[in-house]
Amino acid sequence: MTPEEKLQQYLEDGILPEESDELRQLLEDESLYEAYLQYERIDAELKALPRPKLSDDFTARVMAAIPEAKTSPPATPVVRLEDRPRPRRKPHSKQMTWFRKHPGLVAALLFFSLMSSATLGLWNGSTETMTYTKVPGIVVTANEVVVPKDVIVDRDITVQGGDLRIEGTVNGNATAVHGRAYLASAGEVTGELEQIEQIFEWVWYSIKQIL
Amino acid sequence: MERLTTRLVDELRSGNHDSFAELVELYKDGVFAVAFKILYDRGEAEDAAQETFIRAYTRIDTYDPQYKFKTWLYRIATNVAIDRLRKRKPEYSMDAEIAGTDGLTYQDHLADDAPQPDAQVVHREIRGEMHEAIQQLPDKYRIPLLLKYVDDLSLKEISVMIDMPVATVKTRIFRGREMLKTIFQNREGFN
Repeated sequence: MTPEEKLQQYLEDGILPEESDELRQLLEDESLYEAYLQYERIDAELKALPRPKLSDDFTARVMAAIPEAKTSPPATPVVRLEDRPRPRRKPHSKQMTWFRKHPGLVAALLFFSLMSSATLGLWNGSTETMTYTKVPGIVVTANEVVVPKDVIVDRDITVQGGDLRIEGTVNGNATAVHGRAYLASAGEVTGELEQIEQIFEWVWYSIKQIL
Repeated sequence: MERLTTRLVDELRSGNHDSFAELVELYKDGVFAVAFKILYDRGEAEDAAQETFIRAYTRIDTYDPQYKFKTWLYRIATNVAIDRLRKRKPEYSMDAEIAGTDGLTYQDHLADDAPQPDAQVVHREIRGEMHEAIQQLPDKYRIPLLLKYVDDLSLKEISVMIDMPVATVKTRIFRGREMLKTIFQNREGFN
């Protein structure tokens, strides 16, 4: 126990006769004496802290609030239930409170869900019908666009919802969305030959197109 | 009081509703004092005291008569009060200024039951300081220290109430007092 704790101990329990010498010794130290006076003061002040009084009708209120089930067990419980003050309905469910707390997040989620459903719709729609860049000289079948031998396409070519087969030359990018892009041994693409199967790639591709 | 309590508890257990009112009368001030020391708010302490008695009533079967009824009851009071303390919104403070008043705090709403003769004037300032200093103590030191000043609670009783070994209770009380001392010393250093 530190000397200071000893001082507190004396304050708390009083001093036994055999301890008085020890206390006297401790108090010879100036700073400990100061501390002792401080502790005495704090102790007195804590004892003197205001004690508010209970309301006079406290007991009556407690007795009114306790459930009376114990004193009269076979009493009519149905009536008692109705007598009881109804708990106030919570103004909002947990979810509503959550929504109220995070309006930004809710807005972001809403935006995201609408945006993604729109995007998904476009993405899925792209598989149904084949669309392609109209370039003179290419051959189009039900689900394939062919750049025949000896045909030179001087621009980008894109096929959506079908395959793209290049036997001639494409001076630009060749892209197949939701389909395959074949490059025959004699074919040539000066730009990039791309095959887009994933929605993310498609989204990125769409953005690139817009830009 | 001990024997009266035992008799009242026995009666209550055998279904005598009225004996509980007597128990409330006997212990309400102590229970309220415990709750007040922890919560430091008159209204909240009164609510906590009421909740304590209701809990004691509904759980009277769990009371083991080989222990003191007072300790059992105070333990419930402590738990109820500490629960409320935890649930309390941090921004709520008795010392917060009431909106629209000039420097009036909720503390001023406390009923001051002490008479205020001139001699009181000096003391009032000290008490205000003490109140402020107490608020600065962390709960774990403040609660044992203040409980020590509820009538004549022993360390043993406090240790049961806050569910902590006697030695820990003692250390925390000492530490709490030491912190108060430091707070006062620093304050005087400023002046």
